Amino acid sequence: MGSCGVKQASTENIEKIKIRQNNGPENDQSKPIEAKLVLFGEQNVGKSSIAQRFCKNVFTGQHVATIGGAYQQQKVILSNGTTIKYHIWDTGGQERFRSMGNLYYKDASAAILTYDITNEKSLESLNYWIDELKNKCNLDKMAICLVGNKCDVDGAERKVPTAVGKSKI
Amino acid sequence: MWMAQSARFRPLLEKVKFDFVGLGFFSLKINLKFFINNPGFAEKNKMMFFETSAKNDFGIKELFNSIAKRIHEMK
Repeated sequence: MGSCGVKQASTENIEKIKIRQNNGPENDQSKPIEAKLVLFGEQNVGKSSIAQRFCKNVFTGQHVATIGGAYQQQKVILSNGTTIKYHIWDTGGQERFRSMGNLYYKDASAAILTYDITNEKSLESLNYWIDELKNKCNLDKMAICLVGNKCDVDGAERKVPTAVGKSKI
Repeated sequence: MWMAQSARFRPLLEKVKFDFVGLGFFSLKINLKFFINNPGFAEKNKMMFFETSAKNDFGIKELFNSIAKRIHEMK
């Protein structure tokens, strides 16, 4: 009788251990991939708006210059069940904040280079960031994305055609 | 004797040859499938391009999903 009870208890323990192993930290699907993402670009191109739309799904339309940088978090679940946890660093677009760039792109997994399609100069100014990333980052470990924002504007207001933007990549 | 043996084994050799050709096509098909299903693999070091509108919520999700996929591929 007594031995039977011990047996039952031991089998329960084994089952518990098995469950723990299945749901443990070794399971890659449940563990999110942490990714640092940085937004670069000239001022007033919509970097903060992109970050806010993605993280909070809001658009204020007011221009408030970012001082230094702003931080936000958001998760993305891929079709295979993998979770990517974004740590988004929205940088200030003013030229005086350029020197802080290396603090942001250090250890970053992705960079979004933003320009305003109604402002040709904003695309040209991205050359600085493209050169900076190419020279100082390991591009094999970093996803870089060129983004033309404000594509809701009328055709007449557009100054940078899609083909010109694509030619940069 | 040798001719007789060769004639005897010819169907087998033909089959093996056919299997080799078949395997070649099969691997080519797999390779093509891999490149078609993994466009990110061919453009690993290339920049991605998107046009977005934060105002109209156009292209934002696609942008971040594509980056997430790229990050997952690189890990």
